Amino acid sequence: MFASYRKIAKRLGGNSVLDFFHQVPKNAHHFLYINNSKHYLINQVDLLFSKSTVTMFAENKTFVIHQQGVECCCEKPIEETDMTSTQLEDYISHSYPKQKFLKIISNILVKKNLLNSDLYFIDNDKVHVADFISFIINRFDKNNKPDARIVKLCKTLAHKNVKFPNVSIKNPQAKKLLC
Amino acid sequence: MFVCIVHSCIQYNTFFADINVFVQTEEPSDFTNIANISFLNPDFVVEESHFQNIPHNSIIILDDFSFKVINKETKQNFLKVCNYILRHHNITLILIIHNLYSTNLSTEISLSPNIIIAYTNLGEIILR
Repeated sequence: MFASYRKIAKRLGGNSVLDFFHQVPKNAHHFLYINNSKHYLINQVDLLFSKSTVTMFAENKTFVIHQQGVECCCEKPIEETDMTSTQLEDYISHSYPKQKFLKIISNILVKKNLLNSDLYFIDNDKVHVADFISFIINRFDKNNKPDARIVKLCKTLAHKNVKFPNVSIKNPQAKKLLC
Repeated sequence: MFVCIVHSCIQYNTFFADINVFVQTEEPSDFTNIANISFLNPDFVVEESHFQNIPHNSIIILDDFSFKVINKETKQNFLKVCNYILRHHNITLILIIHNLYSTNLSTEISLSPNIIIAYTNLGEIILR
């Protein structure tokens, strides 16, 4: 029993202590602090004095130590919807700078989470939002038969009860389905 | 390299500021940025008699420490200093150790309350 007590890793948490130690590459010019009386370890303890965040290991849990008043190192991940919204807004503002109502369309598409990260519709991944927008703002497309995939998408949106303002849809065929 | 702090009475907010620091080293230039520093003789060993002149609340740093002579008496003297002198005189003993082999310190390291190790193979051996 004494032999096992002498082993630091076993005392402080077993193999997970070694995993914690291995988080820092070997020969990195940093130091691990071991507190044997309180049973905890701090990786790269020297960084505590240079205002960086460091990690602490105690009772098989890892904690982050950072300066008071500084944001935690675990930054909030950027959500996919935020990225989609930004991409869509960029596309609309560059391609259709004068179409002010398209912003309403984009807000509805993002809010209802209808687009994937590549700006294709989730319900129909062969239709890009650019095709959809070019269809709905084409006010002169009265006689030509629209793309079947877009019509199908519009029907799906109608089935989902996704509605767009009348003023924002210029295409009469799209108006029937989406307003 | 790793540091094994055998007994610590340091208040971190006063770290090395107004504390007498006694250092035994072969490289005095490594410690020039410490205030109130005094260098110990090379024959200083961890024995009760050598701690008579060390004032209370001070820090002793022994660079490249090892048990030169290993016998029961040496270990007993070391333990007596750790368990009595350091505790009752509020002295912090910092051992800087560059090698684990032939230092006869394995037990003392694993039982010391504060250990600082580098990310090396030697550090991993100590942790295991």
